[in-house]
Amino acid sequence: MTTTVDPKPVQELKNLLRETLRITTSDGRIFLGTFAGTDSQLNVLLANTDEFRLSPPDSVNLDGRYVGLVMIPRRLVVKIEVHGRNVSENRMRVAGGGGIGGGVGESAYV
Amino acid sequence: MDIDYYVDLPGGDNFEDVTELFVEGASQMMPGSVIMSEGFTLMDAMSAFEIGEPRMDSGMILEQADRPTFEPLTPLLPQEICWILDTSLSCEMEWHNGNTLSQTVFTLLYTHHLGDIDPDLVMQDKVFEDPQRPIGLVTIVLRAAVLGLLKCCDFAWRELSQGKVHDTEDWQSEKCDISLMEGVPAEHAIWKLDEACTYLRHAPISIQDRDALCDRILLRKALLEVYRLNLSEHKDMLRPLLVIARNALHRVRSLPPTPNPAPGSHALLAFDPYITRRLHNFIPMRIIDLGSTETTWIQLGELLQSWEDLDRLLNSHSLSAWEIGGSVRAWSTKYKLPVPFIRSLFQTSFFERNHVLSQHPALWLVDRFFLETLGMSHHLVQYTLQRAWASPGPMNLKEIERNLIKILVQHVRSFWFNPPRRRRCLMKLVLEWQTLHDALQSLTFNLLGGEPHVAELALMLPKTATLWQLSAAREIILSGFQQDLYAPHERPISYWYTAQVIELQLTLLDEFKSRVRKDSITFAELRFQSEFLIALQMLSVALCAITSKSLTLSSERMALNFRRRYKWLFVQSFPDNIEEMLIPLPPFENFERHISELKSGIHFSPRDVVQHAKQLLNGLCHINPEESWAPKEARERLEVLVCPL
Repeated sequence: MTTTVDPKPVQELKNLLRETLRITTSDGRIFLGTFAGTDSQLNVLLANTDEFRLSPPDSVNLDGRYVGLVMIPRRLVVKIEVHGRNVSENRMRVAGGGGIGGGVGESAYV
Repeated sequence: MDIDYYVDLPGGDNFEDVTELFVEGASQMMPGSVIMSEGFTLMDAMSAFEIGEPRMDSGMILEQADRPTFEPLTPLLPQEICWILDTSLSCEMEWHNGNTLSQTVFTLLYTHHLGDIDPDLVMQDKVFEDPQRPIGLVTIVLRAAVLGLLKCCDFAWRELSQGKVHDTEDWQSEKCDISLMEGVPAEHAIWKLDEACTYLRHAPISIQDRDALCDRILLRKALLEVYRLNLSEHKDMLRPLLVIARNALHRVRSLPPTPNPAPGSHALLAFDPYITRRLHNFIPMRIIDLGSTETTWIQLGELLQSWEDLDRLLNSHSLSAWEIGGSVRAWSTKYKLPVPFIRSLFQTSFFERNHVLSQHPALWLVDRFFLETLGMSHHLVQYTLQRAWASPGPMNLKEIERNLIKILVQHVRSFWFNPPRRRRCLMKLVLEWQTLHDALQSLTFNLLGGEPHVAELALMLPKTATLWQLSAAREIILSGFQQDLYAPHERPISYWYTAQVIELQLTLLDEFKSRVRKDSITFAELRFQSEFLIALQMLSVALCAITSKSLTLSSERMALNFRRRYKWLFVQSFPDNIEEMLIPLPPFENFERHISELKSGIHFSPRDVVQHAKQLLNGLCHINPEESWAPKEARERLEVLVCPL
């Protein structure tokens, strides 16, 4: 039986699962939701998501509206941000040999 | 698209950019692999809305949907205001037709900007004064009309949400967190509409424009007065208010049609069909085409007509009025299915809070049932039963009465269900009527049968329930044709069973007729029913013979199809647990034999049978509709039955 070890960037991505992400899209929207998953094409799944619109001026909606579970394709993603975590610190943790790809994000923390 | 990053970003500042990390991570993932949270499956992922996909993403702004900014305080011409008011009425009608508020009423952007155009809050120096476009037309007139529109929708929503018609089946309740002025008293909206009329009288606009706007404001006021009327307390007010609304509608329709706003007009921006992208409603919506103004006036006229029908039924104190009126509307294509709001209002008005027609106690239904079916009052039935009661225990009619009320209410209300739901409801009622029949029959077992009038009552009492049950069974079969449920090979079977059900009805009607006083209204109705049903039976037999050519399946296959289609007709008997028919109809095995007999009959000609049926139906004209429990409804029924022939 062989155990495949995920490359470091993939482990870092897994560490971000269940974190709150803020994704800015090219059509002037921001999605704030829980990171539920992604694939090799970089389509990002967000759960319990709120949508905010910052442009165009006529359609601005800073109060947000609940849109639930959404999949944001790579072609629309301008920026991805994670809430309240020092990612550099996590990178170090992963680099220190803590995380072996167990399929879920939590394994990196245990 | 540029984003102003100087505004407070949602979520605050405590975020770190991880875009590079994602790009790097994705590039090193195995092709086709995924990363997902624990417990989150591919199946869950498939239910996600795809952002950027126009069919799923309601918040997406398409290139063609890019439009200039809407400024609520932009002054408008009087004709533009008229156009907005007419279009908003079209939106209201489309909501009544079963679309969502976000597709219809909420596309009028002023519904979201009432605060911005409040004349008490508008800073006069910020408004550009244009002598042709007085700002009062927006802040006073348009605002009052929008307030009235939302309040009308609020009253309709309250009625619809009572559960008599079904959310997402008949109508759409979704408000997307937008206020329908629930907290604003109707009096305030009416006062604002009056204020708008007063303003218009002195506004610096032409007389034609003033009249056009005034008439529209008065129409909205009249509609609001009708919507807010509490029928259980003030039903006498309904007719005068409807007359006012009719007159207002007539005046608006008699004016020259309002021209569409010129291209580039700000009035065109007042409606945003893509409003869903900003509302709390993440289900993407189809953009609907609003009907023409003329269609809207017709629909509004039909709405008022339905209210007038309701007023008439509320003032006809008989069960037959509701039964005949409902049946005629269910049978004929001459009558359109009323909008869900009206169907709910009919049901509420018939029976609400244990009161019938807002004034009679529930027991009134029992009284009318016996009087109009059996020709005897409830009191007389009760008295006769009491006198002939032979059982040692006390006679308890209460449970039967309660059951009868429940069934009658459901039966009558079902006329204002949507057709498929009505059919399903009648299927359940066939069993309920049977239960009532059995209860009445077991009651009669405890009577002393010495006196002839007691014996007659004991015989006929359970049959009152059967008469209504057969009527429900007939409606179930025939409504299947209206709803295109039957495949060609099923049609002859359905026509044949219609004829069989009618045969049982005719036998029962003959029994009732022989026992009811010949000069009574009950007798006149029974006679009408008999003659009408003979004609209907003839038509069914003729159609059965004509359509029997499409019988191509084997007997076994047809028997299986029949069992599935007519499952409502079967019950498991106790204690043998054998499946038997609720109604004593001939078994399906007889069908083929009857068909071959029919075809081999030398003298049988469907054409002659139809001709004979036509003559019989035309002969119904000789029965005076005034000799009915419900003369107006009986006249309507006659028009429907006789006119097409």
